[in-house]
Amino acid sequence: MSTLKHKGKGPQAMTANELRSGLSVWMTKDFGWSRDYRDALLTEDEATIERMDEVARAAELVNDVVGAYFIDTVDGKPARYRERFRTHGPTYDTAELI
Amino acid sequence: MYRYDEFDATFVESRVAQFRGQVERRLDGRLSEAEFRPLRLMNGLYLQLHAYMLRVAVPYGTLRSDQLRMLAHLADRYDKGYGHVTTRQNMQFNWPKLEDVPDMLSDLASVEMHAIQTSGNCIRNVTCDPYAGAAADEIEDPRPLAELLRQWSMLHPEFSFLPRKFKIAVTGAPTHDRAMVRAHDIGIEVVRGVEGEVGYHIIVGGGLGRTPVIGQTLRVFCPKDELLPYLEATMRVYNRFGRRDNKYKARIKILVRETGIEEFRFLVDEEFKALPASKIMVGQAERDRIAAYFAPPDYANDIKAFDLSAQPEAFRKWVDTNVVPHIQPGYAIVNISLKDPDRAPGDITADQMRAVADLADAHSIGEIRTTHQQNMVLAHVRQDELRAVWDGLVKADLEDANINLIGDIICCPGMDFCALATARSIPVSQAIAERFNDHARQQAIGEMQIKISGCINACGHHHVGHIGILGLEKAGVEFYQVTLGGDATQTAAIGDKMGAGFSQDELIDGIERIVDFYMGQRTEGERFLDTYRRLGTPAFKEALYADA
Amino acid sequence: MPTLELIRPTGVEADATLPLDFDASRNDDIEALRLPPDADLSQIEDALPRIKSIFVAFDAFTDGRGFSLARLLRQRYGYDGLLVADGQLIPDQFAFALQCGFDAVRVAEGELKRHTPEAWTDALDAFDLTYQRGYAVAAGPATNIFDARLTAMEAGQTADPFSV
Repeated sequence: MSTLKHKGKGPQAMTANELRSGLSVWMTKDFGWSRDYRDALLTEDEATIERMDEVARAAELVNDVVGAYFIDTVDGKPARYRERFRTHGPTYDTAELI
Repeated sequence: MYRYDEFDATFVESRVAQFRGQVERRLDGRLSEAEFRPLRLMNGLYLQLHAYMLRVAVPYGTLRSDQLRMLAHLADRYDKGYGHVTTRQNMQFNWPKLEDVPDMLSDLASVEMHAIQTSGNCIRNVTCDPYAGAAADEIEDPRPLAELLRQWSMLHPEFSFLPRKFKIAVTGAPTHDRAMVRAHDIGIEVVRGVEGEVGYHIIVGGGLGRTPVIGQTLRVFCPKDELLPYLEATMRVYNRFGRRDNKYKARIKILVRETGIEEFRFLVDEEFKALPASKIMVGQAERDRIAAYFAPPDYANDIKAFDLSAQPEAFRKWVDTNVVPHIQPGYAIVNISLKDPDRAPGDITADQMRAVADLADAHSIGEIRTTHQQNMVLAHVRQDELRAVWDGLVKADLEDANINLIGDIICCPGMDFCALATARSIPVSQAIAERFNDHARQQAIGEMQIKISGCINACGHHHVGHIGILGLEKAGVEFYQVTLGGDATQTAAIGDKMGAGFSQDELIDGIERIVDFYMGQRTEGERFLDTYRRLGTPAFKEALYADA
Repeated sequence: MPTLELIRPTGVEADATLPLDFDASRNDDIEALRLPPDADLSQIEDALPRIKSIFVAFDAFTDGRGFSLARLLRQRYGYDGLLVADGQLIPDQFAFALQCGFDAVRVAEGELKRHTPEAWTDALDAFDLTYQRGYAVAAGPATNIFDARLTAMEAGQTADPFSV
């Protein structure tokens, strides 16, 4: 279970994994989830962040997503290297040869 | 190889049903994620960086051809058409859905396979010498022991919630350790006692990770009858006293270090003396039953001498690097390299799996091994059928002739797939393989083990690589630290850390400088490791940083 | 906190207060003793015949030390009083607990909503037999596979391992 309380810097995005597929998702502007980071809601508004927190917690409780947490963003992209990887997927995947 | 009896089959089917129930309870919320996580890990299911990852057990690295075909089926049906051979001889799939996993396990059970204890804080899949039963330097085939340990450790009531994971490796060839027994929580070597009787040398407290340690002798000679009671005593001491306050200090190596090997041995001996050994041990009849499955195949005695000189050069090169001597005259052990320079080390497509399975049926005994070096092995091949095997491998694009050479790189999935990684490892391995792609150059360099880990947890075994590479990240930039002089064999050693890290491009140049320095300094017959040990760290460090 | 009395009645009141510390100077019968997972059993060894029930604390279900404590109490110290696994266990561990020598599991009442008593009893049926010798229990896996095989082999059913 994640601790959702955000204490990040800059615009925040909410990410998680879908429970059933395991795929990475980001919270969208209408407080749903998208597998595409380009749809992600990025905000510094504390009230919106509070709402994202509640929605993510509820989505975990109803077993839609797992391990939700806030990430910092810079210039529209995740700040952390690892989080950038999650947005674009592996740079090499044998699947692409098949 | 081993075949399930009705008891084994029922047990694995029960495990599938149990896990199916656990998934259902997770999906409807009866199990929380905190509860489900340890349960799914104990069945090999991770949630990785982008998706779930299922690690299927290949017990002691031995597969039947129908089992390999089933892995191909899983890759096609539930994943993206390929699998990845791990450094603990298992095969993992990078893209399964949680909902599909119970069906994947059912499919596996239909061919006597499972994913039990390929992760989690329990006794993991037992690993083994990939040349077991075929190597001339072996005292006894270690696979019957490995199979006994597989069964004994399955859902152990007392040892399924250990302080941390627990890895056991066994070898029957202590003079040529190909199973890294000194880098495991417990390593077991088959040895002979003073009367010539066969027993076990027990090594404890080895491991890589953030605190690399070479294992120490716990017991010089353990009679066969006493092995399981003695392991139970050892596991109980670990389960009770291993640290649980800090996951980074929870492995048995830390307990052994903090307790001291003498005191640790005393604790185990006290526990062992108090055990009702006869009620725990598994007797001769059962051990013989298991061993019968691993009896040597019926070898042919009429195999004609094989003339290589009339064969094409590419084939001869492949024989030179990938084929090793067999205990039986007229036979050979074939290594199949999964180290295509353009691929991820250890990756194999479903079509390639089927091709290897067909070759195993046609030219070996329908059996395939996986190796901790992320390759495959056909352990029993008639020498007069080597050409046919090679032709089949060429057709399947699996003919890379680089076993034990610089292109035979061990590499974890790294940041491309792994949730724990700090940097990528696959592109680094590809760049090194490309730089040294010339076969003649690889041959000239000789035995060279490069091992790459994408984080400090060291799944890529970098500590015991002749050249070890550790990927790290700072402020969004990957960099790579180098260790030199590591050794994964019976002369096990942790590599020496060099200085500041490199960018990927600088790293490849640095490795080339080390290799060139070695080539210039070596004396007749010296391997890289020998030259490194003779000249010492400073000389090689200077070469590594010559450009800085 | 109710006791899950699935094996036999514990005789301990649901709200009984359990002594946390053992007083070695006493020599009367001790109704119930609560042991932490890192308990040193040699300190209570002499008093064991006088202790009617022992509650071994599980502070987290991932902490398996209690399983070893139960095993030691039964096997090395010959304790034959009531042994209860007490705390954060989940149904999937029930068979393990019994196999290691516990008589019962006690969990907080609120936990029984998600993990119902049925879930606990169902969990015991997951496996007919398991592998480890010496861990059989009447309510769970009734014997072990190695002994069952030996019996079958001695009966001549599977003398040839390839005939199965």
